[in-house]
Amino acid sequence: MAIIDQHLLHSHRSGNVGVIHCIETETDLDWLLDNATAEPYMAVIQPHMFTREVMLALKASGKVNGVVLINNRSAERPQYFSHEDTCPNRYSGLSNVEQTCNISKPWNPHGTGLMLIDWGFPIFHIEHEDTISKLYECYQKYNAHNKDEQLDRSLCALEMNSFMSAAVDSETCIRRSSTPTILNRIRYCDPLGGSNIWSTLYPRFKAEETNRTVVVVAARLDGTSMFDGLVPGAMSPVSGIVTLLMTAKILASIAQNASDVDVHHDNNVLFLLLNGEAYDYIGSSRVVWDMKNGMFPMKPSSSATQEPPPLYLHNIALFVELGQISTLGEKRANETTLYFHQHYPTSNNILNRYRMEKFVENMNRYGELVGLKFSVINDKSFPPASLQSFLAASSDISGMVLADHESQYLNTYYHSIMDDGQALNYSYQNGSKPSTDSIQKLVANLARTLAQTLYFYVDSTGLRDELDVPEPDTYAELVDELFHCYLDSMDCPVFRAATNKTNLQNKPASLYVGVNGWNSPITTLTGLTLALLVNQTVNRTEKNCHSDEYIWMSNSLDGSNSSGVCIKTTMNFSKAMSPAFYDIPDYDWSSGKYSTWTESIWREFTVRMFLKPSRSHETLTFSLGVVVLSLSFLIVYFANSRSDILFGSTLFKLEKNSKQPVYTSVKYWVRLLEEAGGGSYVRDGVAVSAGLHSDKAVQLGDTVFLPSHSQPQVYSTVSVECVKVQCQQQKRNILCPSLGSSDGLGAPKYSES
Amino acid sequence: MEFFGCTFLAFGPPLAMFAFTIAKDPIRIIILIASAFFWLLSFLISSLLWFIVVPLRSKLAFGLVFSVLLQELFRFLIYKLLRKAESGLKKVTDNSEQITSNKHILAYVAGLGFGIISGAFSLVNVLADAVGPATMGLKDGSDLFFLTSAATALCFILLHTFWSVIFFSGMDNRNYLHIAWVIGTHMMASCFTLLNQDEQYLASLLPGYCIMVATGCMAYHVAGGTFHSFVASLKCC
Repeated sequence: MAIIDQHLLHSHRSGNVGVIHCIETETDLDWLLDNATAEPYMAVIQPHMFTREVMLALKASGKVNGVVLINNRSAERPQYFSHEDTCPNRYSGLSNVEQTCNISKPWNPHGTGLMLIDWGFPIFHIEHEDTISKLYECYQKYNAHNKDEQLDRSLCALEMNSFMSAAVDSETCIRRSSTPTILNRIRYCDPLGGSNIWSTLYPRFKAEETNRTVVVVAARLDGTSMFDGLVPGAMSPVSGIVTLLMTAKILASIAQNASDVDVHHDNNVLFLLLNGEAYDYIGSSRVVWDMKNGMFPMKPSSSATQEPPPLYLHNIALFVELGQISTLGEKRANETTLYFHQHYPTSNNILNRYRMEKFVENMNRYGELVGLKFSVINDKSFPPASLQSFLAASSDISGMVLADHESQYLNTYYHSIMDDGQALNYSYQNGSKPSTDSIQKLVANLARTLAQTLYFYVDSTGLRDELDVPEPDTYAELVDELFHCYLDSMDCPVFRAATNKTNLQNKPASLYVGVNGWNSPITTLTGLTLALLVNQTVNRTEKNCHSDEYIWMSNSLDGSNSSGVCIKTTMNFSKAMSPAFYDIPDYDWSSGKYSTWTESIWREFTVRMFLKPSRSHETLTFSLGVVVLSLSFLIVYFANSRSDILFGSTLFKLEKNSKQPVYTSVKYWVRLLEEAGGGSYVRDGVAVSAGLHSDKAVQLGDTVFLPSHSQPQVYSTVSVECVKVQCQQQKRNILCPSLGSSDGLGAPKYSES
Repeated sequence: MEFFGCTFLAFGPPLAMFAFTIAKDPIRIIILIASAFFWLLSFLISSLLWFIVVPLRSKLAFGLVFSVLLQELFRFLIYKLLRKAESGLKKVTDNSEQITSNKHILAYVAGLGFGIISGAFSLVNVLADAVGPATMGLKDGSDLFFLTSAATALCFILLHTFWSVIFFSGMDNRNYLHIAWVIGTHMMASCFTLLNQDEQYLASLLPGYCIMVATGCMAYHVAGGTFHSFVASLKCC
């Protein structure tokens, strides 16, 4: 099945312009569809109108050049707001093998799928209140009144610039991008991708046996939404990430207290944070591909003895994935129920079933102490999860997905801009104790339970009911800090400590995976935080703290300046990039085996608001310009061709007839001049000859005295050098030489006879 | 649309004049460019002056008055230069060419150079915005702004042409009345454009075009035209 990866935003190179039209009710929509005349329009929509029906109607109308989603934070939120598919990642994971999403009861029932439609126009999101009010003001002032006469006046319009250079689909785009042109390679799109984060509980040794097993604890690292840079992803994936981080922290502290970190263990725990999972499991399918090829966690170098052996799929003893965790579920008698989703065919294997039953049993045993209950769902449908990639590759992995939901997501804002702290019922406590039914407490309890169960699983030498674990309250405060980092501001104590920097970007994290070759900040921050929380301090100076295993960090979580410590960590990054692009030669793009999402190269997005000139005004200006232009050409041509007459500064041409004596008298000249005839030349419009008798014909060589027009008393002399008759006697068409002469006067035209 | 409309309106007539009367003669083109350069020099000096006199920077009228005076000064300088260069030009031109034979042509070409460059400078940034997609009037201003700007530019292009003809002839004949007329009307027309600040476009355009027509008639007269010759030229078609 082909993976559809058309880019979502198209736009003209010069920007999309449209007249603002606010759609608040159905009436506004109907007016736009049926009566609007001044197209194209920019539809300004509130979240509650941003539905599939409205959007498809706008697209079908062809009258819309762009859509602006107004998201006023203080306004009431719609109940549902998810633009992901009803079956997220419908075409990947296990879908090649079996149907995991029940169409009549899909995982994301309120998903509109708007994200997956090629709109053909840009969709922008505006939440800045000042901008919103300006937009409405302008709309009310210019567009909202007398709507049916919009054509006759200037209208408030928007221009959106979001040009994307990619075209057609990923295959074409990647092929074009890798075709070298004469000078350089032009990129049209980049494959989506980033880095997975992995870490093990115990360090792996160089000469480790290859049959050691690991328990994988995985969570996805990325979410998505329709809008660039706005992927709060509180429930998916942040709740899972935080749970995983806390589990790692608690598990490490248990192991450290038992001081068995450096001892050989048959079982290990592998923490995996998988990136790009929202786009058809990029990270997990890459891990699976790497594992199959003996390249996980890293490509073996030539001196293989230097490194621990690679992990294969058969090394995975158990796979626990942390999905969406929230307090939204039903709660009975101070007991929160969470659900382990099992893959139905796989769990029929007896060994698998035993492992999983045992695990859930232990989870329930430890969970009971903190009010957690776990039930197993072993249904034919299986939620979208990274585990699907592993199951698709090897059907006998015992794996479970832990989530807050049964057969449908509780998260009504799945993969949207509203999946933020508010949706998670999270509020930052800033050091004080979170309440017992808060999400912080739930995650802390869950992490503790999971850590205890995991430790029991990997080190079952002794039953540890009274594990030396601090009270969950301190953990709940740490969870609070972690959520604060992801949901409120990245400039938070934990991230500051992890990066050993004094200030970071003060905005909520965006969990979009990004493109290959560029690690999104949150990936790096999460990796460092994992290393920080596991926190195995070693005694090294900053200078010596530079190899792969060591990271220099701040040692105080409260953000006060500290000298820093050296931390030994197993945390590392692995590639999260679909092998389809560069690793598999001649990949069959239509096979749908691996994710082939790409992101088009785009320029900065901009929006401008302005008055668009009315069509009548434009026409008026243009026609006025054209009229003036053509008139002036006509007039100048006319004036230029008749300049000798018009300005009278040249002698007139008299062409009454050709028989001699034509130019008998000056009187006759004057008369002819008044009639504007022509043949010979007289200057200044008045020919007065002092030297000629009135009835004497002008001869060649005669001198004619002509008064200057402006100063009649000043006479100029013109020697008559050519008369027409003379020319004719030559019986040839000849150019008569200039009559104009040394006095700088008349510049007659040559008369061609 | 607005861009083309305004461009045609402001630069259509000078384009026609250039195409029919100037383009065929290289010497005229050179003179046109030279006079445009002189206008630029005057503009440079007036902007320097504006830049130096810090306290009066925000006063438009101050810059305007000195700019007008400087332009007239440079009109005088190019007149001097052309008269000096006249004998040289005569040698350069072919016998058949007429550029040096009629003083008014020199004046006309120099004036058009002045006009085109001043029109370009006053209008180019407006035209750049007229390309679209927006028009005037979102915050304030009128949607007639582009049109009036173009019309004003056209008015001044033509005025400069006429002024040069009158000015050159006035200098030739020591007719100081003509020179005074040129400077006076230049100052007057420029001052009327100050009204544009208050969006009184009609109040600035109407006097501007009246002055233009009057100056045009005067230039026609100076160049040797009469009512008779005008009528005659119309008749003989």
